[in-house]
Amino acid sequence: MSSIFGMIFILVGIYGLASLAALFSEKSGTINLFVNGGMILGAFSYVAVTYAFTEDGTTLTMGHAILGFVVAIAVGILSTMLLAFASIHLQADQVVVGVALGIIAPLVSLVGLVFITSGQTSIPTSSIQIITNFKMIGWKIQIIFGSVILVFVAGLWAIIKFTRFGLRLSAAGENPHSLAASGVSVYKMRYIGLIISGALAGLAGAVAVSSFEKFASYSSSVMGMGYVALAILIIGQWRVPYIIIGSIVFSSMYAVIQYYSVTLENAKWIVFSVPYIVTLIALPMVSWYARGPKYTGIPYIRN
Amino acid sequence: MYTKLKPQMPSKHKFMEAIFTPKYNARNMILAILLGFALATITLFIVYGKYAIEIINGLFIGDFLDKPTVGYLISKMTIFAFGALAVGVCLRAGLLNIGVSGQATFAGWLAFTTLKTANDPTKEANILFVGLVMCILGGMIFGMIPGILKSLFKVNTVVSTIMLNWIATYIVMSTRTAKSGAEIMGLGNEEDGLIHIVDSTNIWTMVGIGLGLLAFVVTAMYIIQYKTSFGFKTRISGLSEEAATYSGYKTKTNITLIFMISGALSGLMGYSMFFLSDNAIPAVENNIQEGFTAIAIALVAMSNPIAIVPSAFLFSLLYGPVGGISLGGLDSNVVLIFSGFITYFIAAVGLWMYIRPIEWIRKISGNKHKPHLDSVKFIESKQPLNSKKGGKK
Repeated sequence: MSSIFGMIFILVGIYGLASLAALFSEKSGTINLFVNGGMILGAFSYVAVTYAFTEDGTTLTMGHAILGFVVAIAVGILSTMLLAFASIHLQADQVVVGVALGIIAPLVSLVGLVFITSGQTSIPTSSIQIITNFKMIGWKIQIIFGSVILVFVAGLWAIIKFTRFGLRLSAAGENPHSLAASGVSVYKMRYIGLIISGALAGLAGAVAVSSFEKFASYSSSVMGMGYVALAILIIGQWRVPYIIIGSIVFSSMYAVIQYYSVTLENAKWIVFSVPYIVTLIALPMVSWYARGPKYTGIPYIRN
Repeated sequence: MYTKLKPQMPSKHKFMEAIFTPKYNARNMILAILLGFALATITLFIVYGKYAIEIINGLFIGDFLDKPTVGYLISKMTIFAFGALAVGVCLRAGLLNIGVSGQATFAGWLAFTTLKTANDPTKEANILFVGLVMCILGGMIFGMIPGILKSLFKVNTVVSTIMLNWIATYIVMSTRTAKSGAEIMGLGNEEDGLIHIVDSTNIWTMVGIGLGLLAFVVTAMYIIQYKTSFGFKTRISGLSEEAATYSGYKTKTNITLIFMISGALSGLMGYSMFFLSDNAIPAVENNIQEGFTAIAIALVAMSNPIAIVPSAFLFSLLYGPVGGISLGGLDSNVVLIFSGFITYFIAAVGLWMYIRPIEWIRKISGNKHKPHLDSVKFIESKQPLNSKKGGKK
C-alpha cells in the first residue's frame, strides 16, 4: 500500500501543476492546448541535462536534478512563447496553434533524443530518476515531492485569489476592455499568464519523468497527461480547490489500476482505459454548468 | 467615379498586398507551406548535416523511380485524403475533430472483430466488403460520441476526442492476438497467424479500389458541401452559430450529424490503412500519427474536398521511403516535423501582416514615400474632377 500512496501523491502533484498551467493561461484569456507539448519538452529538457551528467556513470545528485528542473522551466516558457506570439499578437486561432505546437513538441523531443544519444529514440531513466538514485526509499521521495508541490499550488491559489496581480490576471480573461480602461496592458497580462503557464507545464513534465515509475524509459511522450489535466481543469470549473480534488480522484483511480493490474494479461489494457472513460462520463456532468473565463479564446485587439 | 473611400493600392502592388494580408487564401497557404518546409529543412540540416540533402532528394525525387513505391505513395495519399476529409467536414462547421486516429482505430478493430467471428473469413471479396461496411459503421458510432457530448452537454471536443483516442488504443491492445507477440492486431489468431488481404500480386487492385472509393467520396463531399442547402447551413453555422440558430438551423442535431459523417470518413481512412494497405492495426500504446497529419492537410486545403487530394499527395511524399537512407529510427516520425511547422504557419497566418519586405527595403534604401500617398496621387490623377458623388469641384 505504501507505494500506492507515493504514486497518488506524485500524480496529484503532476496533474495539479499541469492543470494550473492550463488555468493560468485560460484565466488570462488564452486557450492553451499546448500543456501536453510543454510537458514533453520539459521532460526532454530534464532528461537531456541529467543524462549529460550521468552518461559516464556519475551518480545523479540533487544539484543535477534541480538544474534539470530549472532548464525544464526555461524551455517550457520559451516554447509557450510561440503560442503566446501567435495567439496574442497575430490573433491566430488559439486551438489550431495549440494543436500544431502539440504535434511539433514530441518530434522536437524525438530529434533531440537522437542527437544526445547518437541514434536512440528512447532512453532508460533508471540513472536519471530521482526515485531510483537516492538513499531514501522511492515512495517517500514521491510523498515529499507531492507535498511540496501541493504547498506550491496553494501559494499560487493565494496569489490568484488575494493579490492585485491575480485580480488583473483574471480581468484579462473576464473583461479585458475594463482592464485596458483602467490603464493596465492586456497584452502584458496575457503574456505573463502564458509565461507562468509554460513554466508550470515544463516543471510538470520534468517532475513526471523524474519521479513517476511508469516512465521506466522516456520516448518523447507523457502518455497524454497534459490533456487529462485539461479535463481536470474543466471538471474543476476553473477553481483551484476543485482542481485539486479532481486531481486526487483521478490520481487515486490511476494509481490503484496501475498497481493491481500488473498480473492481468491483455485485459489490463481495458482496465487502463477506465480513468479515461470515467473522465468522459464526468465531463458532461460538469460542462453543462461550467463557466470558464468569458473572453478566453477571443483575441484582444487594442486600439 | 471618385468616392471618399479608403484609397486603393495601385494595380501593380495589389498582388503583394493580397499576399501579406491575414487571409486564408491560396497564396498565403502556399507561403505557409514554403516557410514550414524551409524551417523543417533547416531542422534536418541541424540534425543530419550533409545527409539532409540525400534525405530530401530521396523524399521528393527518389520515390518516383520505383514502381512499388509509387503504389505505396498513392495508397498513403488515399489514407491521408480520407482523414483530411473527416477533419475538413468538421472545420467547415467551426468544430475541430482531432479524434480521427481513434475513430479510424476503432473502426478497424470493429471490422476485424466482426470478420473473425464470421463463418468464412478467408474469401477476399467478403473481407473487403464486410470490412468496408463495418469500418464506416464503427467510425460513425465512435464519431457520434463527441458529437452528442458537444451538442447536448457542451463538452469541449478536443478533450473528449483525445480521451476517445486513448480508449480506442487500449481497446485494440486488449484484443491483440498476433502470432510471435508482435504489437499488432490482425485477422488471424495465435495458431493460424495473420490473414494477409494484400499480397504482392494484387497491390495495384487495392490501390485501384482505394482510388475509386476516394474519387466517389470526394465528388460526393464536394456536391454536399457546395451544392446542397445542408452544406450551406453547415458553413453558416461555422461562421456564426447565432445566425444559424436564428435562421432555423437545428444546431444540436446537425453537430451530431456532422461528427457522424466525420466519423464515417475516419472509418474509411481506417479501411484504407488496415485493409487496403497494412492488413493489421498497430497495437502500441500510442495514437496513429496519420490522424494528426490529416489536420495539417485539411488546413492547407482550406477544407475543400478537391484541394485535399493534391495536399494529401504532397504529404504522402514525406512518408515515402527515403531511398534506403537510414534515419536512425526516425523514418516515420521526422517527416512529421514538416506537417507540424506547416500547421503552425497556417494557423499563424496573421504573421504575414508583419512581413513586409517591400516596405523594409524602402526604409533601408531611405525612400521616404509612403505607399498610401502614392496610391492617392495615382487615383486622383485618374479620376474626373466633376463627379456626382463628391470629389473636387
